[in-house]
Amino acid sequence: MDHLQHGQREMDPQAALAHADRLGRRVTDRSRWYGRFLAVFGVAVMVITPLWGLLTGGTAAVVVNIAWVVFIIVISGYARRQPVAGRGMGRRYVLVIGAWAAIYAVVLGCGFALFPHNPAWWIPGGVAAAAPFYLGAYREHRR
Amino acid sequence: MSAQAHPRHGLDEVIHAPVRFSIMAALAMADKAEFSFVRDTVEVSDSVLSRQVSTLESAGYVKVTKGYVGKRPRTWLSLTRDGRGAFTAHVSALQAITAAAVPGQTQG
Repeated sequence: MDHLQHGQREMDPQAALAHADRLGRRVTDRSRWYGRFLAVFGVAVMVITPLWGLLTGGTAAVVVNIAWVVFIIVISGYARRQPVAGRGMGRRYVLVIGAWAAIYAVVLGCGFALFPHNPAWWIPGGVAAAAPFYLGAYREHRR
Repeated sequence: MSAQAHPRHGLDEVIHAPVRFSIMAALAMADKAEFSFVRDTVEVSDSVLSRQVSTLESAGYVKVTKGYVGKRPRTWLSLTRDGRGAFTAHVSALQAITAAAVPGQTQG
């Protein structure tokens, strides 16, 4: 922070570059919440997706719906409270959600039509639907 | 800038001021960051940050977005496309100056 103590005066280029690196690392560290967000989202998708196809009866469907809505509200609130969105996070999130939506549509569409109440479809389907979140979380961890 | 010009000519006068440089450096690593986070990261007061952000906003380098999270007002800061380009060019100029100062290295 030495050059900051000089107010608006000239700064040493090397010190300025080192300072920029430190600030950048601090911002990157504070944006690591996004990896945890994706990992938790992945767990929820992996658990809830099979429940759609395996549970029977109106009450079960209502419980799963409520659980899903509550989860979305809680995790969206968590994301909104974060002070930093890392560089490229928005674009990467669209990619994850897009991949999830495509896989999810296939799992639910084929599952309801061809494999109702068949765990051999729905459990791997849950894992497949969660895969974009885990890949995203892994990528964030590696950044 | 001609090939013979000293790399200092590539420095951006708006960004060159230390606090503004720090703000730009912090925002360069984010899509957006909350005002209070930038204030704490750069270690300046609210008023200093507001004044410097206004300068950067006037230059077209920073975008200020106001909103709410629940009932709490929030201010978000982000670099514009021009701001990101200007900061990248400024950092390149700093690197060129540093390289020129090291014996055995030539400036670009």
